[in-house]
Amino acid sequence: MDEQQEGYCESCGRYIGAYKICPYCGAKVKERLSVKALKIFSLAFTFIGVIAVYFVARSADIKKIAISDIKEEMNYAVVCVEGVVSRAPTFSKDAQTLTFYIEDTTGSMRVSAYRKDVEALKSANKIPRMGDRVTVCGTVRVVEGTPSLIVNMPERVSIVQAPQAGFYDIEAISDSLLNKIVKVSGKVLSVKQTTGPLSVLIGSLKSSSKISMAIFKNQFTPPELNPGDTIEVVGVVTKYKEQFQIQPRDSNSIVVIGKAEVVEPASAPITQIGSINKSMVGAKVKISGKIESVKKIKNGMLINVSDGTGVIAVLVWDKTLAGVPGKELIVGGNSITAFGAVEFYKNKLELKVESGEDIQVSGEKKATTTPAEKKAEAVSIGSIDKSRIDKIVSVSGKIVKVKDIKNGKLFEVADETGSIPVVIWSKALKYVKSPELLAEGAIVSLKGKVSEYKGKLEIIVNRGEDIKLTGPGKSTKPSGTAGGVKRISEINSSMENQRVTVSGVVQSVKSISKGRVVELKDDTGTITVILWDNVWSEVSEKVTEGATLTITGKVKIYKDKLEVIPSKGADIKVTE
Amino acid sequence: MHYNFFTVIGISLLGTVISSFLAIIPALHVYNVIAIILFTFGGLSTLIPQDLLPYLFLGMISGYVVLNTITSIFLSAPDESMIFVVLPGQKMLLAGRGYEAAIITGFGSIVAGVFLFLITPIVVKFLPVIRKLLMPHLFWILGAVSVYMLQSEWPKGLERGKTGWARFFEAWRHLSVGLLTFFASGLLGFIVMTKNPLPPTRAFQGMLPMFVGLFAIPWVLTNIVSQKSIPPQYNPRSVDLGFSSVVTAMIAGGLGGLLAATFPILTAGLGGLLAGQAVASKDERVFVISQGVSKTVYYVGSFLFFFIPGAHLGKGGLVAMMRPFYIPVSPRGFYFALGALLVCLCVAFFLLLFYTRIVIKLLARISYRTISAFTLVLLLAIVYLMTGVYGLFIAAVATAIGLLPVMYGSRRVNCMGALLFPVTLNMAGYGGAFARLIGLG
Repeated sequence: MDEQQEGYCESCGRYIGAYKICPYCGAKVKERLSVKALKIFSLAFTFIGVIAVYFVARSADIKKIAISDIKEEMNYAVVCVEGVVSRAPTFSKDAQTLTFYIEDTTGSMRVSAYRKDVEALKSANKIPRMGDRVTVCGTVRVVEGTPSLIVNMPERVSIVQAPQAGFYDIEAISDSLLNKIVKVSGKVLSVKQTTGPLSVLIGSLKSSSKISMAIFKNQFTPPELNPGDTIEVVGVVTKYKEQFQIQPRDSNSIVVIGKAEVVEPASAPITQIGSINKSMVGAKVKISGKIESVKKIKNGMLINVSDGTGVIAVLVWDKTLAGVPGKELIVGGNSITAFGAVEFYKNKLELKVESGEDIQVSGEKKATTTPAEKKAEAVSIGSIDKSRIDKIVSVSGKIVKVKDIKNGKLFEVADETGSIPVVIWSKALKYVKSPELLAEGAIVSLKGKVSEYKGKLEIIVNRGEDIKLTGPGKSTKPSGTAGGVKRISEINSSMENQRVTVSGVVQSVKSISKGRVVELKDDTGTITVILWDNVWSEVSEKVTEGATLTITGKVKIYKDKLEVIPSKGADIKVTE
Repeated sequence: MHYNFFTVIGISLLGTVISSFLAIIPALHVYNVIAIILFTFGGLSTLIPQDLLPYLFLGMISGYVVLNTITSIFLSAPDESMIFVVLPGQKMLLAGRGYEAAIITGFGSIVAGVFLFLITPIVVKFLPVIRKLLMPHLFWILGAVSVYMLQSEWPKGLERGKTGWARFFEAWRHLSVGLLTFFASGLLGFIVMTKNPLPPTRAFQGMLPMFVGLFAIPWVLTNIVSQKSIPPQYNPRSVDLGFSSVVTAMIAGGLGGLLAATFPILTAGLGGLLAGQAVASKDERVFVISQGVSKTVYYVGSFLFFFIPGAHLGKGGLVAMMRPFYIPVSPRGFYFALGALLVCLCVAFFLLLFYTRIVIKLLARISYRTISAFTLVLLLAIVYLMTGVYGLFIAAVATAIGLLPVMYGSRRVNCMGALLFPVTLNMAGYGGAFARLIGLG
């Protein structure tokens, strides 16, 4: 046959490809050997080949590899990894996802399972617990160099039960026990719901050692714990901010072996101060004695009480103090009876009073006014002249200008008679209830010492309580936006360690050794936001240049620069 | 992203020029070449900064999508299932109007660039929402696509059988071959996705042998055995296209391509099928442009959307390969990509005008079979280099499946069962159960 004629009908000359009968004229066409061979090959090898591939796949073992061996080119590989569960499983109801982390000697990685696979794991009782040694097979996903494993074969998840927990005293917890399962017992010293986990401080029954126990909400619900309870915990030793902590494996891992005795303040017997010791930490006691001294601390006061057998500091927070009847009698020399929980703080025992009614004070001495209060003279700003240098004055006026200075802020306060610079140091600003409200336009009353600086008179304010915002003020500019979101320019050094919320547009995202540095900008300024790896892993997808975010975090100062540091992924929200 | 726009354009154009040489080798997919660059030559990290690599690939894919028109029109024989619905592009080739077909398909790519530029604001705002709404339902949507694809084989018994039974069997032949192709490729795809015996270090190209076997090798084998020659081609001075035809093609092809570019598993072929259905009753040139629009929106769009920070809209083989290396963080990067893609598509279109004339001249001198044989060797070498002997074995089995529609008269798109079958099963939550049932769990 002429090559030109191949694939064409011999009868009508039309192109008919591999047809045997011309679909146009019905003529029979000879089939070429090559076409016949391909037809036979395709049909036969389809069946034989698929069966062969099936048997090869069925007999092949899934390779077990070390976490550090997972590289980018292994994306989508099906592999098995063996390791210890280093972060307890968390469930996301919305995404129907189970997530946990496993760690082998070479590294750690996230493992996730979705929907029906989660159900299959649950029904097969294969949800691992902290510290379990597990073998997990799944599909590798590598995103920007970070590997994770997707469990899509629940039957290939096997849990090698964690080794029996050894019993340790809290004091004995050391690096050698890191990531190991231990059993400890102790007294609950405090229970605090942080923005992240529930933090329970446990004190040793034998020594003054303490360890904190972290329980995340979405992991399990722990039994009710109160200060003074004696508990036994089985959990994995981990480290957080260089401090050891214990992470319980599940709710059954926390056993309350002794509930704190409930003592009514009125009927409680008086305990001699000298008899209070570390073993009583968490217990509630009543003491009675003479006030030796009173020390003002941030948000409260420490009252040193002596009864002849010993001295103990009684801690009273401001909110509690407000409810103390005759609080003006809390001065040295007067008598006091206080009921509270024994705590151990910075190597000292103290008594923490939780209700104002738990303090009774008697005596003749009354708290005297502070030097500032005693000498303060209400004056108009215009009347302040050099004759008042070193005198305490009290002025009222409107803030017309605010400027950040080293270690504080400089305000220009004006009344109808004139204006004067007012310096408020950071240490005083710390005690101002809402420092962010001290903005332009705010009306304030303040007391301070008149002094001269570079030939100009100014008022120096040293105490937070000497600054009072007397009204909402006629602010020319709102000091904050709705929902407690602060303008970036309002964040200052006086807010160190406070949690603030800021909103702005991401200008840049830079890698650092343990996370990312994000520059956030609003219309008032720019601030650095630090996202450590644990936070970044949760929010990496939404923190992108140009994204508008609302971020809540703690204010820190690093190398003289303000930073906001969120503690968890939920602190970062995308703003529509 | 601290590079200026002109650096980005320069790198993208370099990609277009590279792919202009590759795109005229029949059946050699740009993704295979990119995989070699990424994993064999370490992403050319010593030559090109890692941040610019996505732009090089954007240029490559823009060039490829325009210039592979040449191989699809001049170097592929229409298979017998298409005898009555021979794609207008190839019909035009057989009528000596191959140049015109290539140019208007290429013009479709320019139209696609305009389409992508116009729809970007809508995509950014609404597509994530639509995707979120549809994702839980995707398993049955994909199931419906599979059924639609299989049913489109029916009825095709137009041959002249002597008896009623002969005609009955002839009618069922297409459907049976379609079903066999779909399920055989589906089973192969399921095995490869669930328990691919390739070494884990080759996993990034785990699907390569299967796809080369299903689509590329049958294409070149058909070319080798068909012994078909191309009739003399005419070089028209101008191509007549009405504005309304262009707009119709842009909407049909754009929507088909967009669907494929944004939803998992749907591919250019299916996007083209949908676009083709939408303009089937129109002028054949509208059909050809719509195919150009559809494939460009699919290939380029799916990669372009990858540059939108935080949106997670990109999909496809190239995005899967890039994800371990690059996460877009700046909207600026996306605008650069959009600009670069428009420039690259235009440059590629002018290269198409030039190359098409050269290819027409070359085809008159070099044997069609020689080119195909060279391609076959090249494909086998790539498969062996990337996946070893086992990859060649998978490719051979996939080739047998890929030849079924060609040899027994059904649509090649049935080979998409390799993705549709396992992914639909997995999305419905029965992947694990099926794996256990057949002993792969």
